[in-house]
Amino acid sequence: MWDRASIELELMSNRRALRALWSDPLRKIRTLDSFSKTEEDGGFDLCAAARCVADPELKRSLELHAADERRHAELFRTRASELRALTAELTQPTQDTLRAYDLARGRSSSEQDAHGFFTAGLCDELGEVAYVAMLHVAEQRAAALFADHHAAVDDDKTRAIFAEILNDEKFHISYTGNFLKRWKREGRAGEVKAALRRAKGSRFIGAWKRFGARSAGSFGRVVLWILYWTLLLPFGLIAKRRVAPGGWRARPMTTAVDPLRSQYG
Amino acid sequence: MKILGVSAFGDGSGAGLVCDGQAIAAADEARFTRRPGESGLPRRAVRFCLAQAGLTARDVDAWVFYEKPLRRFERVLAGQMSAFPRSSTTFGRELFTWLGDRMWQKTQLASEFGIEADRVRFTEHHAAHAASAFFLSPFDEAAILCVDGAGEWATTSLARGSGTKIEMLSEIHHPHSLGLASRAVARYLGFSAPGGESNVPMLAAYGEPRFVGDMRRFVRVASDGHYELDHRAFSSDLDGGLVCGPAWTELFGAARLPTDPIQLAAGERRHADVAASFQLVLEETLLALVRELHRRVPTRGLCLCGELANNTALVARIAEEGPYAELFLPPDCGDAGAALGAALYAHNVTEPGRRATPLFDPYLGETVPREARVSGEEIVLEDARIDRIVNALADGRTVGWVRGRCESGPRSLGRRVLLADPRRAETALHVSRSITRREEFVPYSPAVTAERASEFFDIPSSAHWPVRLRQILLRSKPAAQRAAPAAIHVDGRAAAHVVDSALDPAFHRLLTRFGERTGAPLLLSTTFGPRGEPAVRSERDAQSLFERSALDLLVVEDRVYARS
Repeated sequence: MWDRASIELELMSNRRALRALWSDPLRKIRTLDSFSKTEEDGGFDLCAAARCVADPELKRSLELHAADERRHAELFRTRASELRALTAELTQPTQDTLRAYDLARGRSSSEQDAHGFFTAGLCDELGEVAYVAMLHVAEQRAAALFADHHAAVDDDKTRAIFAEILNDEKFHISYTGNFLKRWKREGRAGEVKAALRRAKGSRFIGAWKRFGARSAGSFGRVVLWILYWTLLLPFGLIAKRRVAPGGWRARPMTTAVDPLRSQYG
Repeated sequence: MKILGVSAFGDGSGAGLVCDGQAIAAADEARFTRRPGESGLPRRAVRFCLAQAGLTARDVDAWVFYEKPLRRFERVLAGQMSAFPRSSTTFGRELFTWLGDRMWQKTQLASEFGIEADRVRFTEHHAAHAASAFFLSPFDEAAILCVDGAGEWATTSLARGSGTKIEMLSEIHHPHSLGLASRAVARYLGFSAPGGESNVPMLAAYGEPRFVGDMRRFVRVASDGHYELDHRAFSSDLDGGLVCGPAWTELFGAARLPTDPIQLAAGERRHADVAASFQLVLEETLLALVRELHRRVPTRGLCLCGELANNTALVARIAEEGPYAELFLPPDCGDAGAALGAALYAHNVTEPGRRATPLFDPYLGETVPREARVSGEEIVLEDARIDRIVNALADGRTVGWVRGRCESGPRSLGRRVLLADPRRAETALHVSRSITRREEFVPYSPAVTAERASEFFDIPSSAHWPVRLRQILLRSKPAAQRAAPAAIHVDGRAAAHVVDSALDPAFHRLLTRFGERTGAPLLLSTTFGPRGEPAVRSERDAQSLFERSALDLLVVEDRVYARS
């Protein structure tokens, strides 16, 4: 129930936006970049997980999965580079810092995230059952999202990438599911169920948080726009008249007790 | 004490680790994300630094962010207000970004890396840059000049380094910024990608500085060395940067679009002439700053840092004509390199009795991530591999060579390098068209052994350190023009990499053997990476470039891939 609700919640806000996203050249590039980054992150984490699990079969599967993620990252990155070359004049450096903000925090307002809550080093902290459960749920979600992107994307080359990745996702869902089944058979059913419940719950919370962040973002910008034209208007008029002074400036004396702790002085 | 420096949300992002005053690891996040100018939180670079030292995030005593976020926010707010009412479209977005995210660096770093917020510290942006130069230098006392885009408010800083202390003396504030002006001119000339500024001095070599009189009016230099930008020529782009304004385009004509071809035929070199004029004004302005600094801090050594120190022509002019006897530049002068500076600064503040160890090895980056499934031939003996490379090069083939820990900074110092025989001038064109696919006017660099470098190039006495730890533009002698025409620029200069046997014995041996075969230990060398991306990171990246290009031979550590 949680699983379906969280996917629906995520997709509800996505579906309407997907076509607009893929028809905008800049957002298309940034989304592909964002996917590339998430997939590469996934590759790193899976490599780390493969190093810490004892079961050789699971280790091998995680290594293969990591290789897939790295390949996906390269596919997305190459496609983004191709599109960037076609729209060079649109990708001005002024966009970079904002793009970096979006990507780094994974709280994008206009781009899409692939695996969402996929956090580094979880295998160490959670153990292999919880990790694989989390992976299983994440891959199901990614497959659902990529299927939507596959349907919405407006060019054949990018669609072919999604098709290839969707095919790999089947393997990822299947091998993680098989391990969970095997552990259930081996008498760890309770542990597996609890891990799946936690993973789905945390994904629902993540989806809810992202939905909230997007809504708050839109609302915040409206409030700031109103502030700009009311409260800040006189300050703006004064600042506009001021000419930026040149010349050497003496260094301001810091008043902070421990300057390294201060975020200002 | 273990200190990790972090830089992000500026013109680059990276991490640098200092343990007991020793620089252990440093990495630019762009190497991992493969996006030049990457400025997101450097998660992968941090992970690499920790793994390199065998540490976890909790083992690190202090995490140091390379700027003071609240002071930078003050500048952003003032910039938005002074652009009223044009800024109405950007104000909400900018403030939302700051209020929702960048103001909370402390908690952000803490939650991202799972550490206590109490361990997070902050240095000033230019202090981090200054530390990355001075504390890595061999000087006990030195003058420090930092020139970059913009940190909090400062765009240019004069400082004095002495023992374990850096004293910031004076600064010039935003929007008067040579770094931002350089970027604006690079964009005007059609180099809009991050790092496009490095193309300007290369294009300048084709032009005549016929606009220099007008340009001096736009960048006015005072008798005390400070400079001011004319806001009609350089206007705000509302994101804290500058763009070439109406007064500029009125005098120098329309901007070149990135997709337009670069005109280099006689009579059509307007953009090259603009580049030459701006480069000349930039050099004059920097020299005025250096002379003022020398008046205030008359030491032997000068440490140069900040983004503008990546302009190799600028550094060469200071080395040739500046008043300082010795120069030092950190391997990475940009914001990514400032992460290591932030850690070094914090080390010297928290342990004032123990100065950080000078840097004699610029190879602080990651080793090559290998591929499990391989098709290449394994050659275990290094000498046999070198022989194989020398034979291929002498036969006119191109070679990609990837090995060991990678260099800090954007330029190749031999660890992720593309090599070719420079004896035939057309080699450069072949490499540009079939492998790197970069602009044909951008020259390649020569690599040369340290012992024989002075046979081929005029090396200013002050450039002893820069030629070993990074590339610097040198005037070539006739011997170099005969032996390596493919690696010499049209103005007779070359950004040479002088290879020291102590620093990189394998590369030195390769050059020596090539010299034994051909008479000159010189090779065409350039960063091994696809166009628009940093140098290759992993064996997979290298293989991918090998497959997509006309490269003849690829050597990754002990594995050799030859084109059948």
